[in-house]
Amino acid sequence: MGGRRGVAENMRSGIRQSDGWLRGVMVALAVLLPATAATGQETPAVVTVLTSFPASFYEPVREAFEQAHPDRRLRVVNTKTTAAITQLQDRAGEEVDVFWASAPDAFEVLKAAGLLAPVASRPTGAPATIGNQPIDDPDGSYLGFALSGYGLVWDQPYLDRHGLAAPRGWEDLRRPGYARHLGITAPSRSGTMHLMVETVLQLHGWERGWATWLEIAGNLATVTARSYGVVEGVAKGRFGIGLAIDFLGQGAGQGTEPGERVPDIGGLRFAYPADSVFLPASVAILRGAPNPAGAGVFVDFLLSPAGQALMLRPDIGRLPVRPDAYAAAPAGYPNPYARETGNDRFLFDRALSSRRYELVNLLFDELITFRLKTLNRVWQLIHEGESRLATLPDPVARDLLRDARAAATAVPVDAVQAIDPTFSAALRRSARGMPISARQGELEAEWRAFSKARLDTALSAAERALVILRVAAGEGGWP
Amino acid sequence: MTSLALTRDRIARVRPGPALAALLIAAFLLLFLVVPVVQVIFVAFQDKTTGAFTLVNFADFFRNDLFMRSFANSFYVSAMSVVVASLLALPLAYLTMRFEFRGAVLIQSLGIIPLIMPPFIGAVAMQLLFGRNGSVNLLLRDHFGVSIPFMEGLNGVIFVQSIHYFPFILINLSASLKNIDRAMEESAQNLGCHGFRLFRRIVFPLAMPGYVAGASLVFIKVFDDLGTPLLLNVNDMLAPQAYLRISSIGIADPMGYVISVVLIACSLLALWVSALAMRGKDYATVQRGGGGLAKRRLKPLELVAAYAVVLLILVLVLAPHVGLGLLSFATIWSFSPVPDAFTLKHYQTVFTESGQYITNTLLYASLAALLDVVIGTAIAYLVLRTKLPGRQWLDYIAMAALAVPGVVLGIGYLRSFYGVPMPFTGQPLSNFWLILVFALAIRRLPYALRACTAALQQVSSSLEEAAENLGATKLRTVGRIVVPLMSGGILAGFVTSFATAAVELSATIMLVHSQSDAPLAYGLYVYMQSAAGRGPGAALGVFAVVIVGLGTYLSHVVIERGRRERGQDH
Repeated sequence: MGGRRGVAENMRSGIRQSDGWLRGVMVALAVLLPATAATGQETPAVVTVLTSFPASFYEPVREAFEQAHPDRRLRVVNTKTTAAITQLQDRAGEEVDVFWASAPDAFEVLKAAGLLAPVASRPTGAPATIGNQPIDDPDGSYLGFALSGYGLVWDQPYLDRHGLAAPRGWEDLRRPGYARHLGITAPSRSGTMHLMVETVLQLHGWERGWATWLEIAGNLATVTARSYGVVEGVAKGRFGIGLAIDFLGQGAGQGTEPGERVPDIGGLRFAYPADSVFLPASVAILRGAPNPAGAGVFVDFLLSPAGQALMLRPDIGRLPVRPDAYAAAPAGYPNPYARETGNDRFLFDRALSSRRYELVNLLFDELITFRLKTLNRVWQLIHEGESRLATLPDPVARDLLRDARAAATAVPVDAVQAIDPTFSAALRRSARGMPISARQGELEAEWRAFSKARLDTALSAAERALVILRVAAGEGGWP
Repeated sequence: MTSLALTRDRIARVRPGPALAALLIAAFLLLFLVVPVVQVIFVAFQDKTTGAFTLVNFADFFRNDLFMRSFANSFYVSAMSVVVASLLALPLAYLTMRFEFRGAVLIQSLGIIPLIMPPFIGAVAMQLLFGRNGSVNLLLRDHFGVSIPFMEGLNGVIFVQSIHYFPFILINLSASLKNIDRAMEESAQNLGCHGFRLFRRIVFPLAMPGYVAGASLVFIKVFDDLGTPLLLNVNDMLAPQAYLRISSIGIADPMGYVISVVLIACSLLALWVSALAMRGKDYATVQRGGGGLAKRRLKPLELVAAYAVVLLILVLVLAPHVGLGLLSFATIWSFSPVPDAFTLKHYQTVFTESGQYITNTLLYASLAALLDVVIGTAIAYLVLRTKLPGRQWLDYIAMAALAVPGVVLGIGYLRSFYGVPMPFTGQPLSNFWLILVFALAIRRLPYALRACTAALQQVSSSLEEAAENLGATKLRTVGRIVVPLMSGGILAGFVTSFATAAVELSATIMLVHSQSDAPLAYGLYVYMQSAAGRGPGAALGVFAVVIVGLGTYLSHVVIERGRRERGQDH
């Protein structure tokens, strides 16, 4: 197929090719009308945008953009962030002009790979930083167009029913009471989730950060296949609390698969964790874009007052980067610029994140996604043991539970290895069914064995501790 | 008509006293052995929710790869333990029987020393001596740059178990070598057979029954043992799996019962195989006096080799004792061939913190042993001295306890007595400490019963008849004549039951309900779970070894004295 051929070339050369003719026809049909109406071939009309945003997000933007620029058409290629990175790195699929997504680390990965063209900052009136985070890339490779808070979405009636308090921060999610009430998606399948994983890893440090995630994992009911599945799961009562990006949790109607609506959003609440960070959702122009001029126009549009005002639409529900845009916001709309909280000392290190991007994804899958049931069991026992220990101190059980906790929170890669480029060079999230490199296979097998062995150790230590504690409490050796 | 008359006649001759005793014993065995075991088997075949008959639990067992691996591991460990134990026992047995060897006394003590330390007690000490960073491997690595994985995973279990259990093979094999008719050997030699061929074709087959008896006993013991794998943290074997299922999921989980049935089935299978191997191989000696193989003196070089073998095995056998002793006095012992320094504080800790373990053990073990000799004596008397119908069954049922693993008995007790509320308190009966005593008594009953039967066999019934002729009642005869004459055997039975019950872990660990009721074996297990507890644990272990050692010595003295007295009588 003519995958390597650009859209522009396709357009110029018409529908000559026999192998890619069907797509040629479609592209041509999409562009022919405006192209003939336009003055000439110098300003191609089609701007191709690769994005992870759902249709409910990009459709209104597309409409408004095409209204403001009747001579242009916006073509949207919708895919997951992680898949988008692979696609751009492998130059598979069609050429695109603009990459448009939430996850800053995704942009870092692309920047490091030299795939982004410089883009000049626009006069938007936005400050250079929000909290401590720069809004635009200091190297000028991508621009923030909206802000996202990442956090907790929950169903209040569900929590009431189970007698649970709403969580306030990441740390809270480790609480034993939330066992099997949590839902997340895998970072390897969602850039948003990856960002949250990385945020905690940076907030707490590599080892402690993984310990936090591994303990949170003990409370997981499920790991959904897509990030939208998290809000949907909360809305449908499959679990009570999810981790999601703020726009997915707010207001009505957004967040589910395109075309589907959340059946009952009455009880859904969203909160930014106490130590949350606001990170920009960004837009970048790709190096070698077939339509750089059109790409620039699109970026300008996004950052214009009209484009920013779109962010406030209930079906988009994003936080504009322009502080002046909030004047038109409905009452109660969160304004990150007016927010006092947040961790001002914390600086999300995008370069650090990009250096271990795939490593974190793959590790998370081996340590958490594929081990959910065992993690549930291990942490249930450790938490029960620890709560018994609080009322009945027993040195032997304490040692055993400490061993269990240490084994259950161990991570097979250390912080130095994690950012060693030679270590993670070979790591790639491969498309399904595609072979992975031998080294990656080895590492994954090693991590799998590590995780299995540690969880076995943790399970047996925790079981023994519980027997001792039960007997010490005079309840007999079994539950 | 005649048979009916005979039966009526027999019934008429049944006196109420023995019948009452038999009924009481039968009720005890039924309640505390038959019902729990049948209960376990029953539950294994029951649907968890509906209670209907089903094989699905077994299907689950065979589909689960953890259980299948555990099954394979248990089998492998037991078989390998037999092999290693045979390697230890064969040269020793052959040396003592074939040669004039002054080290024979040494070998005899080799047959006792391991048995006075329950394997699970020595396991932790063995890890410090032979583990990856144990004394031996540290020295090997420093001097030769190699290390031997003695204690890695299953190896550790095999190593510890075979050192502990090889005396079973040694004793049985020695006994059957001793009984070989020398004429057999001489005939073979006359026909031109000698050397290894003589051993392979004549000596070994003749010694086979003893060897098979010892080997199958080792196999069963290792297969059923819970304590050693648990202490060595090897969980993927059957007995630990049964225990872990019950202790982590609860008594409602059918898998614990299914594993129990598999354990019983394998015990029976091993017994059956040994019976099969013995069938038609009754090599009873035709003539007495010429027993045993021809002995010859060792040549000097052979003597050196013989002593080297014996000393090597002696070192291995003493290793757990030495290790445990060192550990109980050690301050810190980690990554070094010997401990950093020595202290008495572990003993102090044990006596101040864990006095209840020791007193509980003394109480439980002596009650259990008392129960054993009372029941043992009664069964022996009923079987040998009365014509009570069905009296043999008491013997059979009591001996059947041999084939019931401790963990199975524990699970059976939990299942049977948890639902029974205790009078007054309303607590489940299974929480009552006396239940633990009953479990220990049932576990040790076969040994006590054999001791009592042997003792009664040696009392001539003419003495009882004389007493009765002088007008003594049956009860008075038993009390004043039979029991005093049996006292040596009864005491020996009591002491062995006591000593082994004191360190029983398999059934105990399932039935311990609260720390204040826990016996020594449980305390030991708990101590050995953490690095900080190893010192006090070892001190408690030394105490246990002293109890068992003293007990063994006492029973030995009692038996020897009895033998000498009888010798004088004749």
